[in-house]
Amino acid sequence: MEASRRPGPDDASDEPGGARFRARLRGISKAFGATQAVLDADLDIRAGEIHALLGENGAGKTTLMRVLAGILRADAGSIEIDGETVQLRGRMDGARRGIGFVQQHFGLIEEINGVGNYLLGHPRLGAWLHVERARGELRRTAAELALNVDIDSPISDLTVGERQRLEILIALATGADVLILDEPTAALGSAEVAVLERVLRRLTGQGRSVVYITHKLPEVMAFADRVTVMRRGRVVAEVAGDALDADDLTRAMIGQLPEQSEASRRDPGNPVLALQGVGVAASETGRGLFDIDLEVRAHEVVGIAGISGNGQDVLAELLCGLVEPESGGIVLRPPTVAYIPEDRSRDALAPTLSVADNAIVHRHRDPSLRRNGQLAPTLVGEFVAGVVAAGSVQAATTESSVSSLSGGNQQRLVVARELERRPELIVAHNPYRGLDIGAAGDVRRRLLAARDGGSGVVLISPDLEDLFDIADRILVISRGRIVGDVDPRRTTAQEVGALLGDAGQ
Amino acid sequence: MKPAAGLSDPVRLALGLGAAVVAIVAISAGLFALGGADPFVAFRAMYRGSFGSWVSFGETLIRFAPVTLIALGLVPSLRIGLFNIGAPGQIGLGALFATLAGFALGGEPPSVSIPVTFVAAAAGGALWALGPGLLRAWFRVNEILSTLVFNFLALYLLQYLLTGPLHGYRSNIAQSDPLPKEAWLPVVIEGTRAHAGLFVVLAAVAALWLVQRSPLGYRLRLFGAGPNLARQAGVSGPLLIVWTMCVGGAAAGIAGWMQVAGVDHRLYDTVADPIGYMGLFAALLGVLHPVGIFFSGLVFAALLRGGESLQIGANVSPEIISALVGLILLLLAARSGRFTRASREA
Repeated sequence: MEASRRPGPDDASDEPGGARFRARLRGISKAFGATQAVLDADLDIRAGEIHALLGENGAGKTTLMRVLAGILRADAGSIEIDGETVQLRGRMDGARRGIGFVQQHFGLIEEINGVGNYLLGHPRLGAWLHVERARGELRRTAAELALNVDIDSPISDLTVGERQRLEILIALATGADVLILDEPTAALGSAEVAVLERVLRRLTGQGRSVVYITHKLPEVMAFADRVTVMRRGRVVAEVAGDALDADDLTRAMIGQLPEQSEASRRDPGNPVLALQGVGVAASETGRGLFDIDLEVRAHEVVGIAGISGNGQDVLAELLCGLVEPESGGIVLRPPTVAYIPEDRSRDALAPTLSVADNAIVHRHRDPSLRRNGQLAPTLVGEFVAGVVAAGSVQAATTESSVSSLSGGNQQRLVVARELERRPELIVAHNPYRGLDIGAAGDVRRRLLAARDGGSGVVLISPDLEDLFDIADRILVISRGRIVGDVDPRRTTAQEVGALLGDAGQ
Repeated sequence: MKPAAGLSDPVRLALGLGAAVVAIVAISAGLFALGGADPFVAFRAMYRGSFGSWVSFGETLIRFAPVTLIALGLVPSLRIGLFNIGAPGQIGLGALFATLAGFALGGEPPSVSIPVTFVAAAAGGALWALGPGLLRAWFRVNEILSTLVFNFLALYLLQYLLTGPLHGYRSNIAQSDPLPKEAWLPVVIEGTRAHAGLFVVLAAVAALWLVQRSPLGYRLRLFGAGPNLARQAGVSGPLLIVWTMCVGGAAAGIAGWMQVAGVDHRLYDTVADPIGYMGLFAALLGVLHPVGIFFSGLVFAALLRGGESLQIGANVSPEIISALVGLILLLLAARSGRFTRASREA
């Protein structure tokens, strides 16, 4: 099903021109808690190439490269640098081996100048600061590459483009043969992108390698000598530069989109929620929303697509009535809204309390659970048993701590608790996150059943596959605004992908 | 509806208290030996001082009542992760309000004087906790700092009043005139100083027992363990913060009333000594459980009373008890992680 073209370990000798491997990653896996960020990933980086690492947000690109740079330690797999298998114990270890990593959010210290930052990050930083030698090294490297960077002014005086060139310069002066750039054009204007490209060409001309992490297809088509595509933590394709095809790459990046079964669809019913021109001010915890028009009808799934961090959190809380609009108005507000938040342990559960305590959250004021004003254990027990059964939650007892459940069962409990309220509207934010296939399928089935039962559903997800799967309409959110409204039955993934790509500009 | 650890609660309680008693005995034996006394002589002196006779048992009880009441009152706020260390100030304000009410009533019969001074004391203590509660709820001012500052404010307010407007007739220390006899609490054990305030403690144990099983108790646990989830269930965090702080303040205020109306019969600026911080310690040692607190309150009261007997019985400085309490606290702190909850970031 996937157009996988992984080279085996023996391909090295078959390589035309005998290109040397600078770095080879084999079977790299890395999990954060229940989330498998990278799974069994292989990657080869040849000398003198610009190697694009392409994938959607959360595909595992940055994690994989952090492993190569020594910033993260893999759970499994091996790293080979210049033909030698190595154990990297930290960023400095990676730097000593010639791996330089320019992060998306630069790691420079604002108050001091380029020379100071170079010294601070240098793996051979000794007890004595050789400031003049450091300045000389930076100047020499800059001259070799014709990089024009101010190394004597405090970082806070530099533009974003200058900071990036400085980071590149520092990485190279530190001795990087493999330079990793994470979303390098995210904050650059087009003139600066052109400068960056010239610099990268000069580097590869000297035989150094560049790994270019991006989710933007046009840049890949313009720069890359070779492309590795990642999706959901796995490497799904590797393509050489002369065989690049935009459609193939998009398909590899987004995956096979499932056909929607028309039979299960119904015509939308009456509106259950209507927002008109709603704005929410940005806060310390999130960005604001601007001029949001949104209508959700009964029997309808509205998908919200967008790269994480573009206002989805605030939108979810707004729809649930947890945040009030600053401007515009909520024309129609459903009486009951079910909320399945993205961060389960932070927002959907009280982790130290029992399954039962977590199940009665919305019902603890309900007279039907009380006798003489007190919560009656028998009545509560019956109610909780009902929720657990309805959600097929596997729990030893309802008195055990909710954190003793698996992630899938926790999510089943949350969904059962929320849907038990017979909500007019369901707001589900990335509801399959970190779940295995079985649990994800359960959650999906229950959302669809609720839709069939007359609920309106808002499904917020950074994953187009989730949205194309069940959404009747897909809205694209970017920087707190709705920038697109498409019908998934008449739109290709490439078109939505392009909207997302624009959103990332 | 039992809490998560419902079934194991009594076991946990017994184990916790048992371990604490063993630790206390071991640590204090070491301290006494360091202080140059025979630990057995010292223990005998402490036992005789706190439980050896009806009189000394009565002395233990008049320390037990305020310490335990404060501890019980602190449970709601501790459930949501708040550390109200303002009991000394709240005791002071409660005692002040009770004194003022007692003077204002000027000899009304006990059936009026006692309830009115009681309510005044509760109001005074609650008022002194309201400020830190509001600051915490709406401006995220750390309640540990604000209640500490309020303790100093209360102390200096009392010192000013007791050397100025309320200064007792012909007295040369900071104290008020005696309270009218009608406002004095009756003695409940003949021949001792044990006063009727003990009934308030028993009522508070029962009340806390009930609250923990009520929807309100559930909301406290929910907000303490998952503030974001509680918000979705319509639980108002700021409201919970303010009123749990005020409950703790009211309990401390009533403890002040016990000192003034039940023990000293006049107001001193030292009214909160040495029970002030003991309530918080007793609440933690009693794992926030009403029965546990009842016994941990007794432990601290006996330590306080027994410490005073050390000087006479074993020639050991009573200050050694402060060192002992400090060490117990260190042991408690090692397990206090379970009381600091995410609500601190809410």
